This record gives sequence, structure tokens and C-alpha cells, in this order.
Amino acid sequence: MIPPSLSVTEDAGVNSPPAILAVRSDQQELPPGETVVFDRGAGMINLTLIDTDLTDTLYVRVFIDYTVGDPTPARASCTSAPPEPAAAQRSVTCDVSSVCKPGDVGKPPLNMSVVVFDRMLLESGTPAFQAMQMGGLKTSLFYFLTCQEPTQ
Amino acid sequence: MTRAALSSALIAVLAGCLDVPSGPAPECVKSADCDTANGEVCDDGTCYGNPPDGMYAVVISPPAGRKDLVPRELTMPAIADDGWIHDLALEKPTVFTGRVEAKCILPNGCDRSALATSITITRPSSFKGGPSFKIVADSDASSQAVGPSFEIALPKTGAADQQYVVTVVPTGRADEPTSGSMTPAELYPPMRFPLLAKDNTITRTILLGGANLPAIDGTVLSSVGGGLSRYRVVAMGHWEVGAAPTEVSTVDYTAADGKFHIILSANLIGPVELVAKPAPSGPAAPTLHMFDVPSNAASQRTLLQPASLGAPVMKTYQVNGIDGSGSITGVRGAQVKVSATVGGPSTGQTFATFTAEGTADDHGSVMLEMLDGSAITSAYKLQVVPPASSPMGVVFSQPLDYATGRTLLLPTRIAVRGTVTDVDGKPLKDVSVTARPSLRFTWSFADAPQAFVSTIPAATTLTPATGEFALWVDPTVDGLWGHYDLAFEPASKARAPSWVESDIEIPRDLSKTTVSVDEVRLPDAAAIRGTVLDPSGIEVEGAEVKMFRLSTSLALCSEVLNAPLSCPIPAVLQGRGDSDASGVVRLTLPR
Repeated sequence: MIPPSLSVTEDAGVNSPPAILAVRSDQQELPPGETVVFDRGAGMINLTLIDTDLTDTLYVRVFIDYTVGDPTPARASCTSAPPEPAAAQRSVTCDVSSVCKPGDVGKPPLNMSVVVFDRMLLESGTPAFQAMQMGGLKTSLFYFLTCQEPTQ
Repeated sequence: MTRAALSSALIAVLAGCLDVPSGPAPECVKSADCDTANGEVCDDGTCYGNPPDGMYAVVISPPAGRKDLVPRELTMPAIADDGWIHDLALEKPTVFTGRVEAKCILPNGCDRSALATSITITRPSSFKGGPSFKIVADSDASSQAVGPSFEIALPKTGAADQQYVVTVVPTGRADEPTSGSMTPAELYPPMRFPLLAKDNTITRTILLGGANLPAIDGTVLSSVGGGLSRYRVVAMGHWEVGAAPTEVSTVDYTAADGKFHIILSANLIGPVELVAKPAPSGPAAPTLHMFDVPSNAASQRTLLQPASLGAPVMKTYQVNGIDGSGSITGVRGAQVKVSATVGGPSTGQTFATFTAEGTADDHGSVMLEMLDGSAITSAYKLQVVPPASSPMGVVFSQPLDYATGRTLLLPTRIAVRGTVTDVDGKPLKDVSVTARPSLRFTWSFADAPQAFVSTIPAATTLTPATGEFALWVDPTVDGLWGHYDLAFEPASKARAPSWVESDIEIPRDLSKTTVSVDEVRLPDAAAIRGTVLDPSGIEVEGAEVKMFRLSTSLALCSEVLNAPLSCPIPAVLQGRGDSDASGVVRLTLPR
């Protein structure tokens, strides 16, 4: 039996999924499964991610009310390059100013998914707006999102 | 020995049997390798210290698992020459606890059940342009007459802090009625009150409703006078001058007779707007509005749907753009919105708004359910937002040719191109570059286009080894030429700071397809660190520390047409980090 290469620059053949360690916004870490508040037209989130495939680029997308029956494109996106020097843990900042639309303000909480893909997303394919290159893996965190007008 | 020579020597020493991706060599092995004249010291291969001059503020946020801690803001933190930030201690919260109940209305007796509500608490940052504090918590429903139904941890109100604003919104505000008993939202209006958190605990019973709150009764009628059923009726209004309108009443859902009864919140400022929205599960229909309804007295209103709006029809549109080869291609994922307003929003008159939205499929085709009446077909306006990083541009408030228009051709975006380098001019790989509309651009618009611009997803890309980037942005929106901020975020652990190139102007030439930005040279990096502690002096792992540069110039506020009243120019985030198992957090700042 030939063992897989232990080189971290070569693919040993099995892809490891990425994981989301924390999502933070403004002054708090967003607790998964709970309701969070975003201002319309403003804001950043920072994600702490981990992926033991040290050379993987990670693609972050924020979806609102995404369903297979009514798929909609991501409302925010950002990309996390592999850290240098190599490390499993990394962080990336996403502009989420377009996540809340004017019609979302004051509505009952929306379903927000923060999804991290370890392969580039494809221009077509299923699931729509989430299809990625062969062998890719993804992970996600779910939140209820309340949108408000920015505090003046 | 120079830093570069030292790095080469260290690479030679460390190169061995381990097959790991080659990364940058350590910056130093001893303090003499650093700028000791300005206080730098070497620690773990990095020169720390010599912090940049300027006015800064720090926000420290606890990890989600530490419910016993709350965030803290520090203006002008003390940073020693060797790069240590002092006093990164988190604090114990004020615990705001209590119940939400209905106010007793005599002689009806008192229902002491706890009501299910959503409680939102906000407070602006203590420094100008800083991130606000905001939290949402639920209060539980309970038939028990005693005991808390919510508990919320808040940072204490300090001398520099404004008071909190607490908004309590009863649950059950869905677009359509629920079967069974009435929800709290149908019985009690939302409530807002200020709160100071100076003590360790605040216990309060929040009472909703009341006998003296003004009510609005009325009917939602079709253009021929019949009642319209399954309309959700609510009032939109303000608790503060200049604030955006929010729902400030109970919610009612009309039955076949079209009648409604809603109760307004207390302490409203100015009149309210009545809004009657059809059930989304029903056929397409307009939303009816009426402005200038008094908020301080009971009143009766009839919302009469304008005539000749027609019946729902399905229409298919093809959303196209011209790709790089000059070919016409469908724009997958484009968000298409068609809207119309019928009637003028003058005092006491009903006016109707209608919106149909859809997402273009893989071929660029989108199907919309629209109304075909003569009063509305000439009033349709179109807006389209393509996905982030698409080379196709947005369309805002463009008249739609309802009769013949089936194909929408989007404008082409302009590519902002450039190269990002480190402080020595060496191209930087794996820098995340994001283009977003600048404040100057955003605040130049009136309210509607300003809101539209906020829905355009920011374009983002990652630099290759050459450091080059190209981002597609809209050269104009609603006739105004664009200005964009470019945000640069190097890869984690990189020895380069995050940076923003502000307010890059798009040249006023529609024939241009590219705007070239001069080489963006990231500034030298200053490494600083600190230890995050809890109130007992124990290190906290997983806390976040963000450092902002305080904005001092307010010139922009007078240079643009539509800055918000308070002109909240955001403080610029200079660096952030998470604390490790020893509580130590490391930040890289632009020098």
C-alpha cells in the first residue's frame, strides 16, 4: 500500500471541509441559530474559518431566504486566501451593506445563511448559485436576520 | 544586517526536510533586528511596537460563549512604544431582566400572562462613527403571573455613553393571519423607551397597550366599493424626528368586509401612514397607502383602491448584456424589480403601489406577475441589479415599455484595474480587494436612489502573484458619476496592513471600459498586541479586538446633497484580531 503524500502542498486525495469558528459583527459574535440585527446599507462581518487543506481558497457567500424552490443569488460575498505562513485558521472580512434591502426593514426575521465553499462557485448548475467545482465541500451557519435603518 | 538579508539567512537555516508551503521568513530573531530606536522589540519572529500616530479607539468583544461578559469601547487607548496595548479588560454586564405584560384596563380585570415579544436594544458608539451596539432578544410567553420572561446582558452606561433605546415588538406580525387565537401583535402595539444601565441589575415589567392609545378604524375597499379581504393593515410612523418610518401600531388582517381596527403606539411624532398590503399567497394586487393620518387622536379612514389597475398576468422578460467578446448574453442571477405608483400621495387620498420581483434564470429569463390595467401599465418603472462582480451594470427607475418590451439590455460596467504592492513595491498575492460606493457617491443621491445603491452587492476579487486586480463597477447610477472606495485586506498572518483607497472617481467618459488606478502601495505595517482579560484578571480566549482611526474631518458633510442628519462618517477600521488561548491578540496596523 502506498501512503498518501504528507506534503501539505500536494493534495492527498481527500478534501477536508471548511468550518466556521465564529462570525462577528459590530460589537458581538453572532450566536448561530439566534436573531441578529444588521443595518440597511452598512456593515461588515468578520469570519474566523478553519480548513486543514492549507492551500484552499475559501469562498464566503451570504444568502437570504434561499430555498431550492426559489433560489436567489448571494447578497454578499468575499474570498479568503490561504494564510501565509500556512495555517489552518484564518479570518476574512465581508461587506454586508447590501444584505438588507429597503423592503426588509421592519419585516419578521429573514432566514440568513452564511455559507463557506472550498471550491470556486460555477456560473451555472445546481443548486443554483451554490454549485461548485467537482469535489468541493461547504459548511454554513444559520441565523434569523432582522433589518433596521441605520442608527443616526 | 538588514531585515532582507536576515530573512534570507533564516530561510537557508530553516529549509530542511519538512515539506510545508514556503512562507515569509521571520522578520527578526532578536530585538536588535527591529527599529529599537523607536521602541520596537522582537517577539516570536515579529517586530512589535512603534505604533502609528493618530487618534484611535478600540472595541473589545467577548466570545459568544462568555455570556458573563459584554463588549467595551476604549477611546485613545494607551499603546506603549513596544506595541503593548494596555487595559484590554472586558467588563461585567448590567443584567436587564423582567416581564412583558398587557397593561391593566379597568374594569376588565388584569391578565398577568407574559407576552411573547421581540426586544431590540440599540445604542450608538461612544466614539463618532464607531459600530453601534445592538442586540435582539425574545421575551417568552407564559401563563405564569410571576417570574422573568427575558434577561439581556448590556454594557454599563458610562459617562461618554448615550442611553439605550429599547423597542418592544409583540410577535405575530406575519404577512398573513395565523389560524387560531389572535397574536400579541394584533392586540398590543410596539413600544419604545430609553434605558440607562448604571446598576448591576435592572428589573422591569414592561406594560404594553393601554386604554388611552389612539385607534384607527376603517375599511379597505376595491375600486367599485366592495371589501377587500386578507389585507394586512398597519401604521408606519416615527418615534424620533428624522428617523426612518417603522411599524408603530397593532396589525390587523381584513375579512371579507374589508374592515380593520388598529391601535397606535404611544409617544409618536407627527402623523402616520396607513399601509394595507395584500396577502402574498393570493393573486398579485397593489398595496394601498394613505399619508397624514393623525397619531394623537382616534380616526376613521377608508382605503379605496384606484380604478383600472387590471388583473394579474404573467410576463416573461429576457435580461441581456454584452459580454467581453461583444456577444449578447443572458445575465444569470440578475434581480429584476418592476414597480409602479398610481395616484398621488396627497393628504387624505389613497394611492397604490405595486411591485413584482424575480431572479433571472441560467438563460437570463425572468417571469413576473404584473397587473395589466390601463392606469398602471404606463407607470411601471424597472430596476435591475446583476450579481456581484458581473460585468453588466444596474438599471434604476427606467420606464418600462409594458406593451412591447420583452428584452432588457443592461449597460456595461467599467473595470477598475490596478496593482497592489507591499511597502517596498513588491506585488502582493492573495489580497482581497473590494469596491464599494464611497460616502461621497452614496450621499449625493436622494433617498430612493440612495436606498437602491445600498442594494448593489460589492464587487470583490483576490489578487494573483502579480498583485493585479480588476473589479467591475457601475460608472453611473441614476445619472450620477460614480466614486468608489477600494478596500484591501491581505491574507491572514500577512505582514501587511488592511487599507482603503478612498473616493476613486470614475472618469466622465462613457466610452471608457477601464479605469486604471495607480499602483496601490500598502503602507508599512506596525504590529501591536495586548492581552484580553476578564474582570477577574483571567485571560479570555476568542475575544475580538478592533482598532479604529477616529475621523476628524467633517468636510464631506457639507459637500454632498443628502448626508444623513447626523452625518455619521464611519471611523476607519485599521486592524482586528482574535485573542489566542493566552488571551493575547495581535493586530497589524497601517503606519
